[in-house]
Amino acid sequence: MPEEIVLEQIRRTQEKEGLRPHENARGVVVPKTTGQPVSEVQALTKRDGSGAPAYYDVPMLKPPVWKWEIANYFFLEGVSAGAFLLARLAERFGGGRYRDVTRAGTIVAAATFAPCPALLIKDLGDPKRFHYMLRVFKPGSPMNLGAWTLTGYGAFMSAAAFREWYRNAAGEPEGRLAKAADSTIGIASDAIGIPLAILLAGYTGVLLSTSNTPLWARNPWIGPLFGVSAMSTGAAATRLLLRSKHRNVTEKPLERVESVGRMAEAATLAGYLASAGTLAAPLTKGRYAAHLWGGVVGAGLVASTVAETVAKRYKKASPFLKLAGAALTLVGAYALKWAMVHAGPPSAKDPKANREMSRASR
Amino acid sequence: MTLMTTHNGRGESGGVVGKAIRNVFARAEPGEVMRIQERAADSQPRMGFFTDTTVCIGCKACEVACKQWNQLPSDGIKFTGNSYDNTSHLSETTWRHVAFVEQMDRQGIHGKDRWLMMSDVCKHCDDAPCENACPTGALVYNEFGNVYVQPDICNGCGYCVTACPFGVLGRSEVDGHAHKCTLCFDRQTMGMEPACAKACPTDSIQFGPIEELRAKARKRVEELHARGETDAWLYGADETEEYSRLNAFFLLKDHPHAYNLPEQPRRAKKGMAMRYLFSLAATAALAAISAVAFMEGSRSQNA
Repeated sequence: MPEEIVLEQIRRTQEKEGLRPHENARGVVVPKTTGQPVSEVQALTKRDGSGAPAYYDVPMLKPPVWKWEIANYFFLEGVSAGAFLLARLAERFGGGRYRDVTRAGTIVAAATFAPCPALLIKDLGDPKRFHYMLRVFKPGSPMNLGAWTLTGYGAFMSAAAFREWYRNAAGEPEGRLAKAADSTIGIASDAIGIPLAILLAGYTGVLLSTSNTPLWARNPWIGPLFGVSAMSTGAAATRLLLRSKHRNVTEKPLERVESVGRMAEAATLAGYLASAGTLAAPLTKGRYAAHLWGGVVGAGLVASTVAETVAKRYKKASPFLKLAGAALTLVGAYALKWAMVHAGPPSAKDPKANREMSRASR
Repeated sequence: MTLMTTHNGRGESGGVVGKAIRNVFARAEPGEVMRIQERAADSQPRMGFFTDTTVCIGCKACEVACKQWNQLPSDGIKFTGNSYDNTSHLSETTWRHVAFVEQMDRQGIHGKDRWLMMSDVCKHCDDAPCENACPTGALVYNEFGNVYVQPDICNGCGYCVTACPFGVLGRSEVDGHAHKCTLCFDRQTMGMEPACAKACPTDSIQFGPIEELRAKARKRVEELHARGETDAWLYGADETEEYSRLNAFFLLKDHPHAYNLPEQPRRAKKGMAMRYLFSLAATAALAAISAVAFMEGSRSQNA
């Protein structure tokens, strides 16, 4: 038949030009001669640069839908949890010496918590159904566990804040009832509030890593990174509030938390980058590289450390430098949360990253 | 008598009993739901899809039937330049998508160039990461063993979108909820097969009890191997090390990446407990350091 003759001619031409492909065990075919000019027709099968199969560079995954609301929420809830923890621990372990830390920390915790529910509700696709988050208790879902934790923390933090305000306004409680209420709230906000705050500080990182977005997927370092960031930003914000009232005596423990926190942040950030490898490209090389290297590392880690170190030597410039150090810590943490959230969509939309993550060998 | 609920054409569930059961079993494993349903009602085997891509002719009747039955909006008219695939991917408004792969640089089994065509769909995983992720309990396993988004509960948090390793779910810009293939839940409760399976002219999309489909699929692969088409294989019929079986599985003839499927789909939840521990430990360590610092400070004051 004439068609068979034509096909046979095509086959012979291709064999002559050395374009006869070979097969691997799975039946996947790779042309034996890559790099040689091929005709338009033969180039139709879309393959990526390494010759491995690809589908027209259409992404395999869907991008996350979270934007500025969630980035801001991550930052604020971290500051709140960290400040609350420090305020409570100052009261429990400070022997009465750190009343102003407790007061300032509680104010910071309450003030940074206040916008959080509104941000979360605004971010939902159907905000009027926000309370469906508490419809079930499903600890296997980090978002559900986070919703319950946030609610519980909000309640106990508010109780602690009320107690703090009451003490401030009316002094030490007198009378049996007032004293009993005072100690009950105090014990409850520590026994339950502290564990909730510890969970709250880092759960957002666990939430991100319990997803399939290449930038975050199953990375064990994001949770700890966010947790230590929460502690150091809580300390920094509390320090700023204290300094604004010209107190510099009781901030040594806060300085220590901040400086240890910075080292822990550097370590967990390094761990994250090593673990994510090329999948962290949107952060390390892409659009958010400036946020990472300039904001997180430059401002939050390097510049703030320099400011604190210099402050120790030059007493005259010390107050300003200490303020600057705390502010830089906050800037760095904000850049971290912003970049982590916003680099998610480019990561999910990158077909190469999708394919790399889905390889059996990874 | 079966514990059925009423459904309208949009696949929304009515009925207090069905809703209540789904609410309570928001966390149930698929097997658990089936066992309890079996006790309570007629035994309902798990239903699913077997898509035999070797007989797909790329007519897209499945895409059209799905859009028509579920009253899904158009995605707009765009020419992607990717062969005949102008849909590109599954989404909240596209629940069946036909992929076209032209392989013209290949000396095929019979010395012919070839086209690969596959009708992609939600995989209705046995252990679905989207169901694991859903915080409101909107995503459930229904009585047919399929993964179903209850549209009256979803509040559009978008977590399922990030959890799916196949990129199936999307969040609608119109109503803010997540949507995906329901495996024609409403049709199934009326004893009908899904719209795409009904419309498929070559029976590339086969619907039925999943165990029967798996047996049929294995026989088909043997048949193809006997014919010399040794590149035929089943994607999702068997559990892998990392991932459960799929209730919508495929007979493919090339590497999964050629069809835009993940080579090894991953469960987002794997290792979550360790990640929590790690995170709690790091935070608690810093908290402990601060407690020590407060103690030292107070002690030096009292000294």
